[in-house]
Amino acid sequence: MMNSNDSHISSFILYCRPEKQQSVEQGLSAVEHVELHGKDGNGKFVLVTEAPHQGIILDRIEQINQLDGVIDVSMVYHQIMPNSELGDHVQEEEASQLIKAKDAIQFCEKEMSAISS
Amino acid sequence: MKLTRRDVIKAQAATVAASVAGISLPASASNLITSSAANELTWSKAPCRFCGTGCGISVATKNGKVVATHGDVKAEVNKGLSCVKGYFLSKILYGKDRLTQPLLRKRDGVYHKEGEFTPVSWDEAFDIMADKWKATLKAKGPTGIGMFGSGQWTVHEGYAAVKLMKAGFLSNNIDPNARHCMASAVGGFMRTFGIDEPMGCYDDFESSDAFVLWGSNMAEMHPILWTRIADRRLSHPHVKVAVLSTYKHRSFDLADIPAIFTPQTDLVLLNAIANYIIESGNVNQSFIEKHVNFREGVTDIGYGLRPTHELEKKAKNANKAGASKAIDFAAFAEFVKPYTFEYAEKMSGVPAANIEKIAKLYADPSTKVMSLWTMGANQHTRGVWTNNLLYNIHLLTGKISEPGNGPFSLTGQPSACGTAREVGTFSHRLPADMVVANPEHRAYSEKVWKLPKGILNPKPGAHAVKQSRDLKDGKINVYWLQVNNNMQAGPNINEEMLPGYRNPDNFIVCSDPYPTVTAEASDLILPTAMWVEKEGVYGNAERRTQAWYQLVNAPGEARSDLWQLVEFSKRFTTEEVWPAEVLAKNPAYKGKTLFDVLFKNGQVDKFPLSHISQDYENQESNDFGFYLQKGLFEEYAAFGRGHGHDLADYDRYHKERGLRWPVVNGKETQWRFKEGSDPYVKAGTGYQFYGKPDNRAVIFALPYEPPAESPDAEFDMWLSTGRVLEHWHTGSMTQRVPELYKSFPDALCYMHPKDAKQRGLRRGDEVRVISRRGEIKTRVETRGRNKPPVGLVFVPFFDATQLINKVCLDATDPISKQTDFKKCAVKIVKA
Repeated sequence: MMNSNDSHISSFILYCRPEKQQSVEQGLSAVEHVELHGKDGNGKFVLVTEAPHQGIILDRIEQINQLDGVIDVSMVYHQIMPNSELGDHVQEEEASQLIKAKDAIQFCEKEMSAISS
Repeated sequence: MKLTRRDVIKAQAATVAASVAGISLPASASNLITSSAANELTWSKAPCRFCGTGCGISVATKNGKVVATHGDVKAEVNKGLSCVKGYFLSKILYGKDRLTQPLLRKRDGVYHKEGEFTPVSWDEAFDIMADKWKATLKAKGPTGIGMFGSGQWTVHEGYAAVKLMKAGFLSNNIDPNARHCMASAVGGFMRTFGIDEPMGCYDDFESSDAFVLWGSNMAEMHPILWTRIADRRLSHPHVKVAVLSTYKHRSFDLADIPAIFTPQTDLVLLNAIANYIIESGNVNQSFIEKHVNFREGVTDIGYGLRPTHELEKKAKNANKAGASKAIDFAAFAEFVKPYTFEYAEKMSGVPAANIEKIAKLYADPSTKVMSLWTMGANQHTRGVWTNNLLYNIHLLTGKISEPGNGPFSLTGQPSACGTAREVGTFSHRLPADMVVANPEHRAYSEKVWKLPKGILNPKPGAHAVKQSRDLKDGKINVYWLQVNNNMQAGPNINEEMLPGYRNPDNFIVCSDPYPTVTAEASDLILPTAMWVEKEGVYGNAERRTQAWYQLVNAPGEARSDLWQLVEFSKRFTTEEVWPAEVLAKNPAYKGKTLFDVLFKNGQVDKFPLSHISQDYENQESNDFGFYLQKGLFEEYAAFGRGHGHDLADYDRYHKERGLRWPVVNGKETQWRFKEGSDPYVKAGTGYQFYGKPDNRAVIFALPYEPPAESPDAEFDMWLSTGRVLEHWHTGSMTQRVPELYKSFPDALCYMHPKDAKQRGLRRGDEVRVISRRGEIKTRVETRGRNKPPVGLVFVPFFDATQLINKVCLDATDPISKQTDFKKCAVKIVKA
């Protein structure tokens, strides 16, 4: 899995104290190669990063964790692709064609006990 | 619109994260992709291999290898999130030094205690093992053999191990490493409720108004659950978080009420809160009248050290530590009366105003409160007491078993609950909370296991720390460890552990995927299949039972612990291990192997290979000729069905993201003991704590007693040990992931800058951490993520090159026999 010709694309959710979100957002802009893709205005941010290997991703997470007001950074998505393929042009219609259904196995619908919280 | 593949994958990554976070992205981004993963990968589900949270993981395989993992968006536990360890899960299988064949210490071609590790066949490995086991059984009987297992065993493995030891070898000398982490929690549950494991579940997080962490650093140890708490706190401003600990750590970032207390004084703080609840008139009178009994426990119970230790000789009630007598509410109120906030401040160092803030979270009837704890409370010479006192404050207020209200004992291993506790792999237990000392429980077990009547051994075996002592003393001569690294994780290594392993009379076998410290101290190493290299079931901290299929083959000749246990059973006949008079009375069992009577018994071998999913491999079943995992699970489930521990049919677990027991009429149970949510509670009763014969839980009057060892003039600092986010326990898996190793390569001694200055130390200096038992060298960190108060140092235990447990004291809770790794006295000097 470790290959210098590969690139690692990952996404994270950052949770910070709502009163600190402006300074956290500023702080994020100073962290290299971290893209802000969304926020809820209440302390949650969606971040995407690309790196030549996972170690760099960890360093970036640690760097983000150090920002004042950050409570937690959680990983969500991770994909490895050869660098040579990342620059390929893809038509928008084609994009969905690339996708294979992830859940090959069928899971039953769950019966939850009838408790409302 | 022209897009690159990079754009597509980034949009994909962002879309998944946004949906997990509940954030909507601009339409242009989210329209791009509707599903997932632009790869030719096969995705399956498995619970995470690491902590007790039990996150669901989507596991991708390609060409027989695990190539990617991410949080399962359909898993209720983690809802698509994963922590840094789960994120690198696939890599734990592929460490460079993975063991692929059995290794036996040999000299001149034969086994020799001081020989070099030499590759041997499985046959040769089992031959020598069987010889040693048979010789020991002949010479010493069942107490001469021992087994040390794990909360990382699958349910199948733990069950097969218990059956082999207790029903096969008739030895109760089996204990799990969960003794080091969960025994006090179990003791607390059994004493207060008469039935093990939390009444509530993770759904409580989204209904609670206040969270109180008692000595737990959830931000690093249970990061996904911490995310759920952080989400609740940040999106609901009225929610309060209180964090109590003996040093400042990452969870304090979210704390509204921080509290640093002196080690051991959690006992004082808990009694002070109980006192406040009573004095402020906030006792839920109707609840305690209907559902609670009061008892006073015996005191002066010692520290679980060897009986020859001075502290044990001095202790009045060391041999009846669990005893108690009935009292009433008035007597209890009188008992806790001296525990005022002023006294609590004096003892703990926490300002009275902060104690009051925490106490009010419990006392205020309109605040729903969750208490959370793990090792801080459990690895405690009064761990069972601490658990009891935590339940006290929830029972006094009736804040229990309902959404958002409840005491929640967290777990550190993926199946500490599911295997170690529910299967009953402790030296005194049988499946489903039954115990060997109870004749009815033994009779029931003999019936389920189809054994001759009266054959099970009624005497509890040696627990973890006693096993080490018995090895050293030559009382146990053959010992088998599976899925644990006790030579690194156990206490007082130099004095009490290594001598037993290297005792020339002893033969030590260690099953592990990697050459751990323990493996290297052993005589025979068996290479083990791990995680998704085998089919398995884990049970997490909220009673959720989760199954997975074998997704890839193990490398080389590595075989699962389950295969090893079952295969080994073929080497013994009943004549060799059972008393002659039992066989004389039950001739049908004569001439059979333990494999025949334990596993090919008409029950475990009931399900044919055709019941296995066609999409997955199953090494063990194919080898033995029947669907082994299903047979073991269904036989095991017979113990709990109808007894409050009901499990669903085995096949259903492969289709679900887990179910929380008891599963009755196909439905799981979120909150136990409460009418309407627990099928075992009768209509009109409100609550029934049915683990106790009169359906009442117990509030215990228990005092503060000092720790086994406190700082003095020479050893002037407290030492606390624990984990860090990046590494799991002894690091035998996570240290082999290069990224995790790099991010936290070596253990450090976290220290207050004042303490460092006073000793002429600077950040990064090499120091010796010295106790009365041993010492290690490490480096000083004064600015890291953990910030101890003056007078305390914290050293994590994941680093095999810095065995901090050489320094620790092997003092245990006298009731639970769990070691206290959180406090002993050390001195720090420049190296």
